[in-house]
Amino acid sequence: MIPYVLTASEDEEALARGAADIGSLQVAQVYAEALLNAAEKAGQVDEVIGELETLLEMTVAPGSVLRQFFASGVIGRATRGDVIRKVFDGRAHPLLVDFLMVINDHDRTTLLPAILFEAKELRDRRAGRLPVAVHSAVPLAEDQLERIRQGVRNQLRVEPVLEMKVDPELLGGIQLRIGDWVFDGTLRSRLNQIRDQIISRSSHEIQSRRDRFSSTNGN
Amino acid sequence: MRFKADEIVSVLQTEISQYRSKLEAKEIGRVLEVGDGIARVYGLSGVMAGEMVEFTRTGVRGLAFNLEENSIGIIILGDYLGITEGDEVRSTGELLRVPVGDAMIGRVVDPLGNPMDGKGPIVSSVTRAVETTAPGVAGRQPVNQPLQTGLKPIDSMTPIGRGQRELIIGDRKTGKTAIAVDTIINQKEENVVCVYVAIGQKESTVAQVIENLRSNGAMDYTIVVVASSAVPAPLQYIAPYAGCAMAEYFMYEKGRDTLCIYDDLTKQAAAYRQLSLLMRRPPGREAYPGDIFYAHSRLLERSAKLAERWVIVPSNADDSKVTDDWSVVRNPDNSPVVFVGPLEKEHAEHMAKEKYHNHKLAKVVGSGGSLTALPIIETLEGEVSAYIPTNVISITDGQIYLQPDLFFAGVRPAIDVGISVSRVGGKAQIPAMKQIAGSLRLDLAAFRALEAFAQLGTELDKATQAQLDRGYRMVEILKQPQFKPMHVVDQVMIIFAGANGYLDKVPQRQVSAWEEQFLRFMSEQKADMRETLKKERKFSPQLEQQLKAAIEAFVSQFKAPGDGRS
Repeated sequence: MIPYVLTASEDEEALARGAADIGSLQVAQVYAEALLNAAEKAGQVDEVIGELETLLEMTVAPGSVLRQFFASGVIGRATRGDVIRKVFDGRAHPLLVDFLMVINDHDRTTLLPAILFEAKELRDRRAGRLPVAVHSAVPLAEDQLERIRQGVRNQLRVEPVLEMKVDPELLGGIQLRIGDWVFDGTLRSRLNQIRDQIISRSSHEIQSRRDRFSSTNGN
Repeated sequence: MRFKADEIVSVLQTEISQYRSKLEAKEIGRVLEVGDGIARVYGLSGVMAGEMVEFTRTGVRGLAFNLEENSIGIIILGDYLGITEGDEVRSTGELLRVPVGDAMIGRVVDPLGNPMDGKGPIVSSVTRAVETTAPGVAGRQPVNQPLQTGLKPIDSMTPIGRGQRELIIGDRKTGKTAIAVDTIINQKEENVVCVYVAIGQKESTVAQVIENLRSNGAMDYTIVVVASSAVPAPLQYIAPYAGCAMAEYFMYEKGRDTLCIYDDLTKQAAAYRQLSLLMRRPPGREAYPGDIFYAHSRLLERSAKLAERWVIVPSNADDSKVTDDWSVVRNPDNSPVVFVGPLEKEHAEHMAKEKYHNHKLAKVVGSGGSLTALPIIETLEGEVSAYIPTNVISITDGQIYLQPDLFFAGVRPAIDVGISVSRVGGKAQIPAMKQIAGSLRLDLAAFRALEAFAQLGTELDKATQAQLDRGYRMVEILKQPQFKPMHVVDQVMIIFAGANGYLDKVPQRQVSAWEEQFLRFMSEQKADMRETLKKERKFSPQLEQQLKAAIEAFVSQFKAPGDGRS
């Protein structure tokens, strides 16, 4: 959910903790907008973003040399540029290669994940689309998804793009995440609520009439 | 334990029956970085400035402090060490509130209203927003009632009115807190609710203050809010606002007089500076943020003397239950006509006299409360022209300035009468005090100048020597031990005796003994006269003669203490 930056360390936890700071987020936004504008001009937004997404998946995959390649400070700018040309020229979209060269020239290769995050968000915003994360305990059927889509469309007047995620820990029901908003209708959160309510109700009972709970035998 | 199992069942039952209909909607963000009492959060794009947020995993609360383009700066009200990067943060749609009400009285609480005194939970169903706007012009009335501190130099020369803001300023260890505590102790018979807010102080100091209040019986009407120097800066920052909200409840809802002491605002300013710098707000003079003035002015502006509301009611109405609705005067739309403030009251008096016979003017119950503020500022080496002292001096309605030189010379309270002022309190002084203390300030100032001159060892003429002698006696009279606040009538009588020269012949060392015996004499043998003065609050020529006669009668009785001479 949070944009992050690449770190040379491979362990999962370090990745999760590599959240982008505010400064790099702002920088990533600028690059993302530039990339998107260039891709729009060429009329190939989805292709470029799709390729960038694949590249990133390969980069963060466990054991990937690409991560070291992009995140390590040991490799110089010139060397990295040469390698980018050799590896991606002809294989990737020319625009993407140029983009990689540009961020390499500016020493911003660690920002790749954050740039992709911002670019996707910007693309969706421009297209009037809204990513909606649907979390449920069991996989949902197509007609159920359609009902969610319809509901969001009617409420928010935008085209939702559903991203499914199955999480058995939710026990039942669904949870929708739209932007910063979470609409929670899962059994787990409901049970949590009931638990909190019982605790607060009991403590209220205890506090309002403490004499009921003290022993009358005078110990 | 006799706990009702069916209550659990009923909670469960209502929950289950509402299961389908309810969907929990919340706005969330994630913690990007955390430390030193603040967190930076990604997301929460709809959160409003000053809104309370909750860290879902730990249940700690925070306040949205900075709204930026890409992130939200949050000040954490509680333990920030349990919060980690990536934690979920939820907006609550509420402002920060603290519990208020009668249950708070006599308790020691933290700035969020949680008990700290080990006396069990505080059961109060009433809460109040920590940040509220101050009453407007129409809701106020001029200060007209004295708030007696019980300290001779203050009540005589820098009198404080209910609803006033009087700054206590001075170096460390000059007795600032002592004045505040004595003032609280003196409110025992004045029906004033007191709130003492300790900000950034040592826990041991606070414990001592609480113990002093308790042993003098002052905890029966006092709330103590503690944000010691060990708690994170956000809590120190909100402590005075929280204390103010607790006092405001009694002012607005109960129409009572309240006193709020902020001890001290220098530390609060430092805490706010810390927060602002961590939040990367631009630093200004002395690295304080640009809105430090506003932080103090909006707090002190909340002290007020609320306008009384008056209605015309039938003359047999019960005064203790009057509400707006009882008014017999009605607007065309049948809403009651209420007269607010002294000007409209005058108008209503005329109206009641002319048009409404068999009716009377009655005060609406719960109107006309007040909140007096005594902020404390600590200076460094007497530097009153530093940033925070000048700010707070300009916000308040006067200041009591404490001098280390005086303190170490044994003049306690060490008030420098030359530069201490009270801009509005004079109107609230009782007439008797006004009559005798009118020239006291000038006389003392003249004495100080003369004293400096006399130190040169020059030969003095008789008149000058007499003036000096009188001055020494007056300084002696204005001294007062700690925890011994004095009733204003006693103050009037002893200052009267001093100003009229009855102590000129008493050796300087015996003045305090003379004072003690005199006051005892007056309360035991001239009790009726003391009562008259207490009731009438001013000197008639006749009463003045009586008092003079009483003093003369006492002078012959005075027994000099044996060990007073050396």
